[in-house]
Amino acid sequence: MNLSSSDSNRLRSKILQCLPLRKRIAMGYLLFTALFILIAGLTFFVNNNNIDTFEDVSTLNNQLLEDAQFAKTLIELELAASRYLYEGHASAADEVYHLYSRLQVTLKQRHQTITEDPIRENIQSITSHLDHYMAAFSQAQKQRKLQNKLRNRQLPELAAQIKTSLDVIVLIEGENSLTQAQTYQLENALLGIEVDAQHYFNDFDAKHIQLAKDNFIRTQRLLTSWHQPKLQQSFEAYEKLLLETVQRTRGYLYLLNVVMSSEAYEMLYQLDQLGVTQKAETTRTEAAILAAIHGQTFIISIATVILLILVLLVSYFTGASITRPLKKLESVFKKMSEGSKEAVQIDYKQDDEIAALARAAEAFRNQNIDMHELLNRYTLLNETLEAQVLERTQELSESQQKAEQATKIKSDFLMMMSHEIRTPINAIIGMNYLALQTKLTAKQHDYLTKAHAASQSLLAIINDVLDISKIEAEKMVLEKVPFDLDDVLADLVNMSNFSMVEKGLNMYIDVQPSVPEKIMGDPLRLGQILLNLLSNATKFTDFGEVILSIRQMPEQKNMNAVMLEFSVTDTGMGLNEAQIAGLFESFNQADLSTTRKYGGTGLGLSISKQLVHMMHGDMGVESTLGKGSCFTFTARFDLPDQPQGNPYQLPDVVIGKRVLVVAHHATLQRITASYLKAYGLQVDIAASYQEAIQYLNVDSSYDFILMDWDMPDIKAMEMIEGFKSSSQSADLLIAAMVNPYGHDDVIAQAAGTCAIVAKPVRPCSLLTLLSLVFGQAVPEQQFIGGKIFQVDHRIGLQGSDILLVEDNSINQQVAREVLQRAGVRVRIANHGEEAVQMVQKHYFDAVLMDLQMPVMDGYEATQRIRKLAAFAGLPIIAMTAHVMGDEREKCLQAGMNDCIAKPIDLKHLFGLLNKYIERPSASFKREALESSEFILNVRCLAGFDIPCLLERLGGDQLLLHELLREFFDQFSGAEKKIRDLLRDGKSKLAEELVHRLMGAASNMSANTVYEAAKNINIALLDGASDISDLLDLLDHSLDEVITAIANLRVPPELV
Amino acid sequence: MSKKACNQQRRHFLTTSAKACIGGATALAFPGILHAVNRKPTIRVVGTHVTLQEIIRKKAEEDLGIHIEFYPGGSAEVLLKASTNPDAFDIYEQWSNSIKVLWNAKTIQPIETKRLKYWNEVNDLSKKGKISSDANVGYGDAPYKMLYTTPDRSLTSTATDSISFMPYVHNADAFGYNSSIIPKGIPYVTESWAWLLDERYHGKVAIVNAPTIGIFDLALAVQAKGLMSFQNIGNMSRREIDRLFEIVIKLKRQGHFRGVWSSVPASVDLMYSKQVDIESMFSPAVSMLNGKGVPCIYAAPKEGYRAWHGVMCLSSSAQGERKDAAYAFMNWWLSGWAGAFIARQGYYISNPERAKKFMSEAEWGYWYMGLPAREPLRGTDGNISVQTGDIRTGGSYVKRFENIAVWNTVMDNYEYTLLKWNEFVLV
Repeated sequence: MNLSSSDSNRLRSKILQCLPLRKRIAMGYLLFTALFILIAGLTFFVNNNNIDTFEDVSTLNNQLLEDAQFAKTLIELELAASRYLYEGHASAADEVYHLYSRLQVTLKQRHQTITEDPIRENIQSITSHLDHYMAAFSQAQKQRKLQNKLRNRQLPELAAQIKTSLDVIVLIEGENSLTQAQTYQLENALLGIEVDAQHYFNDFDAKHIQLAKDNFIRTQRLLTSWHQPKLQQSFEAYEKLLLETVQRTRGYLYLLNVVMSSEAYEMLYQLDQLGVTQKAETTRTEAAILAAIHGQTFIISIATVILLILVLLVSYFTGASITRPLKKLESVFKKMSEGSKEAVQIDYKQDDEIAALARAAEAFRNQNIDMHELLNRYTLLNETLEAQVLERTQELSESQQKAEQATKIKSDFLMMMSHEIRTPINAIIGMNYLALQTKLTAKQHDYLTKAHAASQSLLAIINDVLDISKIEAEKMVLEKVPFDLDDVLADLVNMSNFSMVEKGLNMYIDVQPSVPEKIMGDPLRLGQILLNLLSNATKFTDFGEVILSIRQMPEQKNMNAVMLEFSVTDTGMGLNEAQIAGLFESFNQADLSTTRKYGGTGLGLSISKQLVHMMHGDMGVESTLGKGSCFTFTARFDLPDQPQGNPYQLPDVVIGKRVLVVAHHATLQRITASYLKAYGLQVDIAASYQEAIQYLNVDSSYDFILMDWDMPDIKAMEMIEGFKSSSQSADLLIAAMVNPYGHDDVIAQAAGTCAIVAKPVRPCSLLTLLSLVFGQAVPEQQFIGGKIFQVDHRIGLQGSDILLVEDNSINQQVAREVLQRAGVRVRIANHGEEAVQMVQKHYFDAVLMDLQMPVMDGYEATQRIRKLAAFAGLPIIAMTAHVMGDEREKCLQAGMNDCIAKPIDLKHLFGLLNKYIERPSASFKREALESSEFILNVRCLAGFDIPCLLERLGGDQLLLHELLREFFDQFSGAEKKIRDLLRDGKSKLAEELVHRLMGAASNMSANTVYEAAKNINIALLDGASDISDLLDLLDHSLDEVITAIANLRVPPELV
Repeated sequence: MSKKACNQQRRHFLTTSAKACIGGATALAFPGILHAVNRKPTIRVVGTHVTLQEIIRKKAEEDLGIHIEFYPGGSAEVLLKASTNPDAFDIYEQWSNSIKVLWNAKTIQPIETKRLKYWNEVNDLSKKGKISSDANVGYGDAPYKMLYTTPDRSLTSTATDSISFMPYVHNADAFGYNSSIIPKGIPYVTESWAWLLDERYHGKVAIVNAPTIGIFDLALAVQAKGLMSFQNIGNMSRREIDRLFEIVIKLKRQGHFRGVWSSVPASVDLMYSKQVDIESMFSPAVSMLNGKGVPCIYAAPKEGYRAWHGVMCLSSSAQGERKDAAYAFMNWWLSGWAGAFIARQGYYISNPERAKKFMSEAEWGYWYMGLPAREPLRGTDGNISVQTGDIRTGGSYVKRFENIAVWNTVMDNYEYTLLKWNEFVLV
């Protein structure tokens, strides 16, 4: 329809307005009738079409019938030809010509009607062969007649002539006469020749003719000797006639057997081909007909639908044209009954039923005019009221603006406050940390631990408040830097997995293979959102699993950006609809009781949602009460400029390797299998040990087994034993997926696994695993992010010199002590000016620079230092309470290398320092550490209180190993040395050694050794004479410790 | 272009321009003559399409100044005509296997060698049966065996001064195969008549529809395949014929043969339309197929060729002026141009040295010497049928005619083979 619907409506109603109602109804019926006739017509047309196609089929069938008829006629023709040629039936020849003319007619017709090329060629070929055949036939007919004449008339006549002349010659007197005997001889020869000829004509054997020829030669010789030239000529003529007859016979035979038979064969062959072509044609036509019928059915369906729509439209418009004036009238009456004045104007030109009603209404209206006047007064009053309402509304909006401004002021205030509160909290946390490092009573330790926890919570709350204030004050700016997604995941695992494992929850990370590894955005904020969701999930889930899934959203418009979807699914308590409704609002957890039970400000989700919005995404939740929740958010990330290949691309050797995954949990099965498949491996999955054994028994060609360490009903050690014994290949590789917080990894290593992967398994972990298992050198960058265990960056900082520029003395103290513990030499400048002087006096590896300071702030100090040519490359790291967004930019502009947030996260600080301080030997070691997923994780060792020791070492396994080795080197055999020294009277040296052992054992939490050494020390100080019992005790406890260390197999790559 | 070809062209130009001058002069000198009785002698030549080609006729007329009428026809048809009616022709051109029939029918007369201008140049293959001392004579009726005539009207191989036919065109035939489907074989080593019966080519085989020729293709194939052997393949006994046809009829019943062909164009069409991949073949068909882009190879079977020899006979009725014209035509045939012409469709002439003068070096090298073609060569139809570097299968003229298995022959049991042939064709 070209007209817009309103235009066409108007047009229609104008036309319809000209007709009275009765006619309009009649017209509607007429239209219906017309449409049905149209449908009937179409059906008829389609049926007609179908009839045409059926005619096609019957034409084809007729053609096939004709072909059969043709073949029959052709065979009849050939039979008739044979009857004539072999048996000489004259009528048969007539039949041949009769059939020929019939075939010619058929062929001509077929040739005219057929358009298909192959069939045409067939027909042409048959026509030409038939013509040749008939030409040969007529020639054969001629030859046959000639031959018959020769054989049956001329030859016998000539023979009779010769016989007659022989009879006559006997009677003649003279030198030409022959004796009776001579004529007998000649007659015999002639008879012989005739018999030979007869034989030849019977069996066509040329030897008879040879005999006849010999006979002729002999006869000719006789006749020569008898001087009978006349007879000689007669015999010669007879021979010539006979040979001609033979030659004609040969020609005749040739025509029949070679020429005609080959033409006949070709005709039959072509007829056969015609059948094949026709059959193909029939099949094709049938298919075409089917298709046509389908097409027509389709057309009818479409037409019916269109007609149906037309019918509906017609009924609508016809109906409307009747009801509209009625409605108008109705509204007129309604308004009149309500007393409205102007509504009585009815614009109705036609003189129909409606018009009559309208006129009645007009009369009614006149009676009501008075009423309207009254109403007018009321209307005036109303208008005054409306003006008042408008005024009020304006006032309201002004007050709303004020309220918004107030919110902003509140947010600004809160933000400022948060900053101010952070500085003292920073001090509290720092001091608390230092206090916890000192020797404390159990009670003190408990108090301080709780104070530490409380201040951490306070800091978290302040941080949340700061974030929400920033967002509300519109001061939040997101960073845009390239980062590895896996780094974020690794940090998340470090921060959230332990609490999950503690609660007995399984954590899974499911990254879709297509998700790019390197993206641009704000990794810290992304991590913050994910951590919030994960810790919520942990909080509200008592058993089951938590899955973090990441996938790429399809249909990216922009080639340089990706939309990622993150979801955190748990099997926790879930939420009802009311809870979901208020979930993302500030200060709102599921309900207030929840806040009390689980702690937290309830700001996390609100902040997360707003951050997600800033990342051009959205956040939502789906949940079933009692079954679990799934928090999903999307976020857009730009892609770095340099093109990235598939980060998980492994070398070709790995492709097609066969791996058997043994895992009980369906999620673990699914995720592990999907990763491995994405790397091109062939994966089989066994849900139980028994199933795995079945797989191994059936097929021994697995390249390795990847097993979950925590299988129900069976111990991992037993499984490994079972796999090894059931496998045919001696070097079956087994890798284990292990929770990193026990000593399962140590056991797994001892059990002879080739590699251990920490759970939850990330794509990078498996990549590293595959590279190790299949001995493939992997480019370095693919290893980054492979770290699963916490690595202490303090390694490598030992012996470096750092300048700390800080005006706050508490902060000075915290930073100095922390750095000194890491073996760093620290000098302190109280403000920027001092710092500029000090860098010129002393050597520093790096500068830690506070920003707000008296005398000279950090920005200026940095700019001055940078102006000195020698310090262009000196790493300067800012310490600031405002690390977000523009603050960082300002620092970098001032010439600083990086910045770090206050309160200072030690891990982050050491990480940054390590990044900027170049120490080749140390960094090599660090590299090795980072690149390895497989650090021996010691959780328990005979004679040591490892948890206590680790706590002191900040959980640093590598440091632990080094200390243990050092302890081993220094004190293995110490007891014997003490005995020797005492025996040799070198008690001073013995005392020294005991003292040293005591100190070391204390530091190492080797409590029994410490006790034993302490007792010896006291005894020696007391001047006790016999301490052999005490020495035995020391021997015993020291032996236990030394053996334990010796048994600790340190992975070779870490030595 | 070679020097000879240049000469040839120049000569053609001179002749035509000279004629044009004469024509012009005649028209001027005798304007009143509207009609003149043609006084030129006319000869009628009966034969097959192989040599009765319009280009040859025109050229001969032009060179000889006589009228020549060609009556081409099928082999059997012309033989019947010639063996029954000497008045129907002056010259008869066909195969050596028709000589006995014609001679016995006395429809041809002896040809006097002294009236043949180039008789001395005719080579030993035609005169003595061997092209070289190493050559096989071959089974069947080698033409030399019935070349000379004796006063008592018998045919002999002993030289006399009259001959039953003038030997001219000849060739060594084999089968041809489509090398885009059948892998190329090694001439005289792997190429074998047995290929005609190879099961791999089931349904894609055709045989020439002529018992005096096709029977030998079948017999050579059956023998090469090791299915039977012949006492004398050139003159089979009835029992041998029975056995041979028993084998090939069985094969045909199984659908091994597509059929038989009756003319060179038919044989071309069969292979061109992919109905057959291997078949009995005559040399011009190979050239035509190559010209059409079908890589047809004319095999050089290790068992040897089936050879044929064209014969030119003089009707027993030809006398006087006609006889003189017939001799002139025979002499023209051996005078070089015709020999060079038919060389381009793969045929040899019995006095090649004279034809050489009418061929380019490249043509002579390719067609007669078995050398790689130095340039693309055109067939008689003007299409390029030989590409640079091509080598004629089977090698040189001498090499090919050293390897004759059998000559086309009308055997004693000819009639019997006709009956059997009928069975073979129709089964």
